[in-house]
Amino acid sequence: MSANFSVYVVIMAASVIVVGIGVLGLLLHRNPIRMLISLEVSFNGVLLLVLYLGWILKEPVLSSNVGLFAVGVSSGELALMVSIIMALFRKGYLEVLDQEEMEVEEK
Amino acid sequence: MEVGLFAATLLLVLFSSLAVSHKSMIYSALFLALLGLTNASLFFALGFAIVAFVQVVVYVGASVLFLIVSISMLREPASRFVAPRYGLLGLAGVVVFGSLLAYFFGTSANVYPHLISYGSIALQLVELGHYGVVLLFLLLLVALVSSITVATGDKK
Repeated sequence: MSANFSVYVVIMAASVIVVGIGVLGLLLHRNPIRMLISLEVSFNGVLLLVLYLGWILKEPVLSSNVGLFAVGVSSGELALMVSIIMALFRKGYLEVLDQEEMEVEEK
Repeated sequence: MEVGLFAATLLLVLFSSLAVSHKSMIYSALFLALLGLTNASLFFALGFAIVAFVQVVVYVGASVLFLIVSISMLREPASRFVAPRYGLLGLAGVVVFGSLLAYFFGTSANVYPHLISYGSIALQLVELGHYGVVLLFLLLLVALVSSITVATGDKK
């Protein structure tokens, strides 16, 4: 196993770890902004994984196109979700606090 | 080169964990921006220079910055993060799974990055049809218009 091989194995393992961290954050938080940030963390890992798979399968152009589309869709989704969450915060439908702190305040 | 790649992957994991677990939401969004920049550096190292450029300009430069500015306008209380009970176990499982996946799928890895030109990407887009590009343009347009509409909506 050469040194270069181990480098790219590490890249793939890191992308899977980042996806896992994002999913964990998505499951553990109740604040919508934190959930959105966790979703974006997971998206970054998936994007790296897609480009890496395209790279090892020797389909760099196709994976570039998929990556460009993914970045565009994710940017639009992030802007739309932040606007909706901010509007809901402003109208008072959502709380900035996490679920655990809301439970502490209720007590 | 290899040391830089190792450092970038370590920074990737570090920034992702900090973005998920930091107390302040503004710092979480800031770490998300740093995560995007680190990701772009890895794209560049793999040879996807155009995707890295779009990631920096569109994703980090526009979307995540918009997220940071929006969060900074909130009156954020001091929040605390309670460590998950099974978080470390789940993280260890993810590490093992990632290592196994990398072992089985990484055996055909080429050690040199591919050289991708903008012309080849555009040519494949034309070959695949324009519907995807039109759909993406419409999606971004709808997202922009709805964001502006929601942000300038009725005030309480």
